[in-house]
Amino acid sequence: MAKILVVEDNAYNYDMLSRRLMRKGYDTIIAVDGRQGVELAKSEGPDLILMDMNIPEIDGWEATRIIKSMDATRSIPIIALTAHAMSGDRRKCIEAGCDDYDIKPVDFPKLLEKIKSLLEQKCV
Amino acid sequence: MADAKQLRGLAKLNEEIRLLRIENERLLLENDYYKAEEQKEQLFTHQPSRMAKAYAEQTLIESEYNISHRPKRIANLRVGLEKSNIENEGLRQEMIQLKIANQSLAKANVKAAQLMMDIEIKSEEIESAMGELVEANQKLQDTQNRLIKSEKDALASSQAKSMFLANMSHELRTPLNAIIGYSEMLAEDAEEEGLEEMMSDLQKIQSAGKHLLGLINDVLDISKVEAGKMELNEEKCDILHLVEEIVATVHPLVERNSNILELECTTDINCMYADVTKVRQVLYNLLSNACKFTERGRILVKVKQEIVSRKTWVIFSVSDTGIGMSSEEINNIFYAFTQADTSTIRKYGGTGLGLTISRYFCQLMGGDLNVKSEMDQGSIFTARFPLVQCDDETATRSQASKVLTDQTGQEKPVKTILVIDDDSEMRDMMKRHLTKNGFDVQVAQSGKKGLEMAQFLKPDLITLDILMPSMGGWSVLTSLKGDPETVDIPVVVITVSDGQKTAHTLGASGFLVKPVDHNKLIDMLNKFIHDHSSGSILVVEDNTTLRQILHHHLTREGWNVIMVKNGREAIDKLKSINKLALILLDLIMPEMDGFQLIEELQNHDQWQSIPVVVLTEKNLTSEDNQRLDGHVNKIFRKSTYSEDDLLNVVHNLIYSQLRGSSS
Repeated sequence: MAKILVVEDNAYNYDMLSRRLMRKGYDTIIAVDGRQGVELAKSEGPDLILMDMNIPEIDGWEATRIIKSMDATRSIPIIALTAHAMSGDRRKCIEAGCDDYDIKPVDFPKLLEKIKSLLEQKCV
Repeated sequence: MADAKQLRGLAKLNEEIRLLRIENERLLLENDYYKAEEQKEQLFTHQPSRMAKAYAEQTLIESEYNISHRPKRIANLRVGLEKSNIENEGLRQEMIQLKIANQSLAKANVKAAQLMMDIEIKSEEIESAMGELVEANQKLQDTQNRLIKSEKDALASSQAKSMFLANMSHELRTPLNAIIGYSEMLAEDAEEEGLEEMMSDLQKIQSAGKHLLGLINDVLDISKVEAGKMELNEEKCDILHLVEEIVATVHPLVERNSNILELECTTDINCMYADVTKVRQVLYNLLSNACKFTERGRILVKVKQEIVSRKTWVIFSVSDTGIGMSSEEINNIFYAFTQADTSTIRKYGGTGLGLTISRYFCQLMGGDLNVKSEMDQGSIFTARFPLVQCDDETATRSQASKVLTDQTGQEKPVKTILVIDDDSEMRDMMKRHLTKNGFDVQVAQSGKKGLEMAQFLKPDLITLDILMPSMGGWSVLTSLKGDPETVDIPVVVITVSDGQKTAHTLGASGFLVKPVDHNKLIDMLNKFIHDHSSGSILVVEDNTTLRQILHHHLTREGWNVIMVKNGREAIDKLKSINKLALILLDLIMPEMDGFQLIEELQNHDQWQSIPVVVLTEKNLTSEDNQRLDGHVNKIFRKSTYSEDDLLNVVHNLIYSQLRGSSS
């Protein structure tokens, strides 16, 4: 069972996201800020990370850069979630090292597709 | 001055004349005196005395002498007098003339004085007028200052308002996210438990939530534009690709009202610099409007270029045969929150902000959005953008897959190679050499530029220098292999230094040491560049538009594409083709649908192993899934699939197939 780390500070959002993912058969762990996100990425070794970009302590961009700079966690795919539907965000996320990008509120089926596709790629 | 001198001369003459006159007078008196003496002498002759007689004689002699000389003197004096008189007369004449001159001078003086006075009066008037002007000016300045200040205030408050709205909208989205998400979860539960009534209510919450989200997004956009916070992110944009992508996205909307959508592209420009997201939003808005307000009609998307006053414009027009608008309605549609008729909001939905935002966006990019419409006849919306063409070095993607005819007369896609090297000589040499060998060569002079171009161009192969300033080759290689968009591009490392092991560890396909052996290089390139002609892709799809779009995407990637309209035609084709790399399949089609075709494939040994990718709109039931299970490699939803994902999957499936069969 694939394990997904949800990095998100809003309680509604992480509760909803993690429960919906669990329903689809994923194991989830939650980090409520960037620092915790980095720590859990190291200690739990998730298969994929959903990263809200506007989070306290260390923001999502920085957390992504840290995770992608460490050998132990570099290969974990990261999907960035941002609330700003601004053009250029995608590029910024990809530049920070994210593997994909989605805007909030998330279209859940679309997000599931992205998760599935990244996990498949990782297996290959 | 001259006058005064003359006057003095005149006075001197006058004085002389006066003296002459006095002399004359005196001479006349003297004359009288001698006359009287003469008479007296005559008296003396009557009283003779010797002495007296002698004296008298003496006196007489003297007198006679005097008298004999007198007329001469008198005559002299007369001449002098005459002369003086003449001179006097001349002087008199001069005097008269001077007097006249003096008089006119005096007159002129008077006139001048009068003029001076007039001037003085006028001066005063001007001075007072100037005073008034200064005052008026001051007043104007004050007013202007006040206006500037109030404009500044207004702008500041408008910006504050817009900022507030922007932040507000942002804040509103978070709880809305929860509302939509939880209602979706509950709807899933309700569906599982068969609670139909609850499900329909939950769907209403969802749809209201999504409507609210749309409104918030639009308000956010408008407030950003008004606050001047809307930024342009211009990037290279493949025009046709963009339009096709949008046409594919609106496909379900087109079908909802049984409309037909046609695309007509007459521009030969492939690529422009634009804020792609915004152009997309504008076109999507125009197209979804056209779909909304047209039933059983025709929607035509035209892309063309036009030169107006030496400027080239890219023009996108969307025309429909829908309900159209009255001239009064046309005047209102671009203003925020005024859909042509408020009743249309109830009937057709929408926020009424779409066109306002679209026009803002067009104008922000230096273009405009216009409309022509007639009641019951339909509407034409025209969005124009000034063309900023991409430069030569960063050629377009469509160029990257341009097609050449080789000796056999067969069309064969040109392979693009991206050369990343900071040494200009090396770049030139590679470019010359590889172009001669039939490759399309693009160059990047730095690692950073190389990464950008790799993402954009999707070259067939990259050659990479290692020792480069700022971003070295190893980091470039790591980034290329870390990006899903470029991970599959083979990289050949070309360097003076060691590092074959590092290159392979980091994912390079080949390693060459400078100076480069060109034959070796060409061999290596041919080995690593995938040969797309290894098989064709069969597209089975009854929708013409979608079929064309798929054709465009796949051929651009270099695939050979065969298109059929249904399962029956697919079977016919399968019989005639010996090498098929993949089938891209729609499920719902007339004559023979996708499910039936899959069954047929399973019944033929030679077809069983062909990878199948399904592209469908159908909500798959568990029965459907059972029928597809194990026979289909990947399922994409028409409404949500991304072109890149689809192409990636196609690519991966075909190559894993190839690798499988060759090993």
